[in-house]
Amino acid sequence: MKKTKKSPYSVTLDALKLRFKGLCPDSEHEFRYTLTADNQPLVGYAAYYDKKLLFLDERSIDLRLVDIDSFSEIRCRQNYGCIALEIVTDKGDVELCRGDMSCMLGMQATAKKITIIKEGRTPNVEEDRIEKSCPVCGEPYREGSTICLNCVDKKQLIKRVLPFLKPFIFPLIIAFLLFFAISGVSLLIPQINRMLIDNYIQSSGNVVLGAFISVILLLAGVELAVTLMGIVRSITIAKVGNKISVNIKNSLYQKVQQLSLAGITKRSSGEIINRITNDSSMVQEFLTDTVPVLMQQLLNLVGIGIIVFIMNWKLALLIVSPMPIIFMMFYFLRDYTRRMYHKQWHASSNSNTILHDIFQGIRVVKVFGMEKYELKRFDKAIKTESEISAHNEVVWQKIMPPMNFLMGIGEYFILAYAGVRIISGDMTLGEMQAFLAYAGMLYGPLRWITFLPRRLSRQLTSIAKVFEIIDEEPEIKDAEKPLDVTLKGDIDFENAYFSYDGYEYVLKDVSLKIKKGDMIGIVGRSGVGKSTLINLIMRLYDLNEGNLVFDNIDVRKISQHSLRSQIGVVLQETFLFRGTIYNNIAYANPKATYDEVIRAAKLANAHQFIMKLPDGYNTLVGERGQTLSGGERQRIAIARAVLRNPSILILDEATASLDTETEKLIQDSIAALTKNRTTIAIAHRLSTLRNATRLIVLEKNKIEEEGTHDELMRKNGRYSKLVLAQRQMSKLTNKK
Amino acid sequence: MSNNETLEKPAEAKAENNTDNKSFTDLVEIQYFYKDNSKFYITETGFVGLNAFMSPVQKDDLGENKTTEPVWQDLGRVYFHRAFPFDLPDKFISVQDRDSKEYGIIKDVADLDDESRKNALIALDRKYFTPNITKIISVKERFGYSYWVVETDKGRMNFTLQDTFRSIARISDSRLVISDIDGNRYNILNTDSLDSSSYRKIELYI
Repeated sequence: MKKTKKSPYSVTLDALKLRFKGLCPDSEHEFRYTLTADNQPLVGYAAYYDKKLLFLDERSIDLRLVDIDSFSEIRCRQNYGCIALEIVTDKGDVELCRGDMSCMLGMQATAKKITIIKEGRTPNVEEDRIEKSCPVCGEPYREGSTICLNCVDKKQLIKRVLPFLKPFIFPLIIAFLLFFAISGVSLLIPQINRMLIDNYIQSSGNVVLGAFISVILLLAGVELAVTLMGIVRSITIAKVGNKISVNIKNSLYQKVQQLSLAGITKRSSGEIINRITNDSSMVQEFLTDTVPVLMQQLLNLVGIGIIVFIMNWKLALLIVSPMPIIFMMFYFLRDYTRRMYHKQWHASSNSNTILHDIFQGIRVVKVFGMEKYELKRFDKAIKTESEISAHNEVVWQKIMPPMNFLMGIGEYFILAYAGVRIISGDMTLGEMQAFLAYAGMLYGPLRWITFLPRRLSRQLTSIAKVFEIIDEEPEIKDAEKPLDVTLKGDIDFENAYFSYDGYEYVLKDVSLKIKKGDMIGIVGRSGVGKSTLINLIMRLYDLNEGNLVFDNIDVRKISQHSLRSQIGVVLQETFLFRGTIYNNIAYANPKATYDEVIRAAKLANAHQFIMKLPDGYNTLVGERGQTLSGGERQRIAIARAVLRNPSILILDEATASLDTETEKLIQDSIAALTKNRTTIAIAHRLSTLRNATRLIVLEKNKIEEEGTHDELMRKNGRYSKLVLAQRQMSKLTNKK
Repeated sequence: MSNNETLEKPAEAKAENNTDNKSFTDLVEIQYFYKDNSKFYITETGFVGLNAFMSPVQKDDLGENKTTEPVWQDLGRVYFHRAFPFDLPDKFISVQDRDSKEYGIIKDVADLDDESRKNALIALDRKYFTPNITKIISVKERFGYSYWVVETDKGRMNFTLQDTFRSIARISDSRLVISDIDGNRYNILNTDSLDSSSYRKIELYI
């Protein structure tokens, strides 16, 4: 929240900052807070300096100091619409300050930094960005964005688009020349008309028939030329436009593929698809529609203006005089119609959403017998939509005819003025005709220009968004000379710290040595960091602190491609691409032979069910393909993973949706496979992990227990409790 | 967010609950807090704590429960969470520990004694910061974001919405909840009671 003129605060943040600097010139890691303990607005500023936290707000005279040795823990408590910085002392929890959600990043960064300092580690300076906001205007950056759309230099943006035009410079020059030609030639038409009327139709003298016909032919020729040039121009531009659009889409898609998972997941998939499809089309529209038409319209406007003023400046003034009024009318109507159609669009989008919803959940609707209720809901939505659209139609019909009439008023002025002049012999009929034609031609560009700002802002937004992705640096980059290594399968986590958001650690000081050929089972409640651990092994994310080492080589030195090509993964959610079962299995290794694919399928226990399908390995799966059960899909995914012959095999709840019998079969196959390979498996069903050489129990983001099944059972800790609980469960199910 | 249509319970579904058999929902026990079994107090450091008469709370999930006989126990600082923040702000309030594990539910703050009620309401006020918009001064749309200046019961405020239409949740025909890009929430309790110039500014998004 920024302050405006009528602020509820007694001081501004800037004034308070000055006072703060006066009291403590050397502070670091500053942040602001905006609320009192009972949620009243407040201006507050705080910082860290010399093992102390310093606070100053508009009510206080001097700094409030909190020694960081006086508490054992500092954390942010996120409430609803507000957040508080709290410490844990001997007396209990103490709230230090609170603010609305715009203070969240600053407070979280502070809590993180103080925690690191208290633990005796050195805070990472790079991550020390306190608030993600634009340094120029102070507006916070948008979600998943690092450009401020408020301050982005629009000229700069347009300059960025121009290189996309470069490969097409020749056709573009042609198109540009055609613009000039079309504008120039179409301005000739009223002049020829005038000639026709004055020299031939109205002429009192002898008319040479041949000359008359040649003028008519000229007129037809000019019209034809304009049409032909228009066609050539449109084709040129359409071709160039399509190629540009393809180029933009390709560079966007390439970039998205390069970005790390972190870079991708901070945006929704819809957002990314939108940028690749819609935003790039907007850029294309800007380059091939808005800019050329703007040029054409401006040329027309200027050309006509010059001609009419040369022809008769008084009459020209008459034509121009109603322009401001018309311009204003267009302007207000633009706003009004925008509101009208906005409403209609929302209403129709609402009824579409309901429809979409119902068909997605048609089973639920039917099973609960809610057809009537849904019908009523949909009925209400479409009625609203039709009411709005009918209302808009009526309003439109009421507005447009008077508008057209008003636009025509200029012509009446011309008629009246020119009529008098014609009668007195100062003007010819042809001249009047030409004037009327020019006046009519003026309204077109004017009308178009009123819609321009909205159009431009929409397109510039898209351009900004497209370049934001193109300019983004992938967070996970290969080293300058990435190593292509053949992994043996040793994996070492050394004092690893990791957090997705930079504040809450998912893994804290985890050290884990995995030897080649180990089968490691990872156990723990959901949310303790099991999947994070394997995401790190695949280097989908980088550690915040500590090291991850493969065969004594730091993961950051190994090329990502080489690393991942040697890891086989089966995830809990299996994704099958649209295509045949064969394609889906061979996806991991397109060079695999048919024989190898079948072997992989047999190993994964998939061959049998695949051979029951009429089309065998050529069965289409994925969207609109054959529907497979969860277990069948999983077995295909396992086949895909083993086909790669990976040195490290990762199974993330890979057999969770299989029945125990199939699971056992696959387990045995995997056991054969894993002899000389490193396998890391996550499972809730502990029986899955019976072959594990070592089990890791994660709890509270740390390794709580580690050892073989027998060792952990003897230890009588969390693992043994879990095993006993699961045994009891299975006994119960067996009795039934 | 749910809109008013989904909140309406269909008549057919209600009728089916009238069976003599014990309903499924009766099989679940809820620990409710009321004036005889709970005292909400202010802790030494200014938070709200709870003294409750209930089955002993297991602090360590590895330990086993020896007894379920209710006893009076001081749970220390507790955290509140509204189950129906829009529909029933003062009813069905979950009382939780630091890790969001639930101790029990206050069915209605009116069930508590005066002192406890006062303290519970203080805690709720501190947890939920949702200024009520009384007047919309300006709304500007630029580059797909909208910039709002509003008058609220907590003073004048500015905020920014990304994807304006989706940031405004329609709780009922006249009640709106607006979520800004930072995650702040603003209420418009009744759109009909807004002045006409404010209403026109928001009309487009309703």
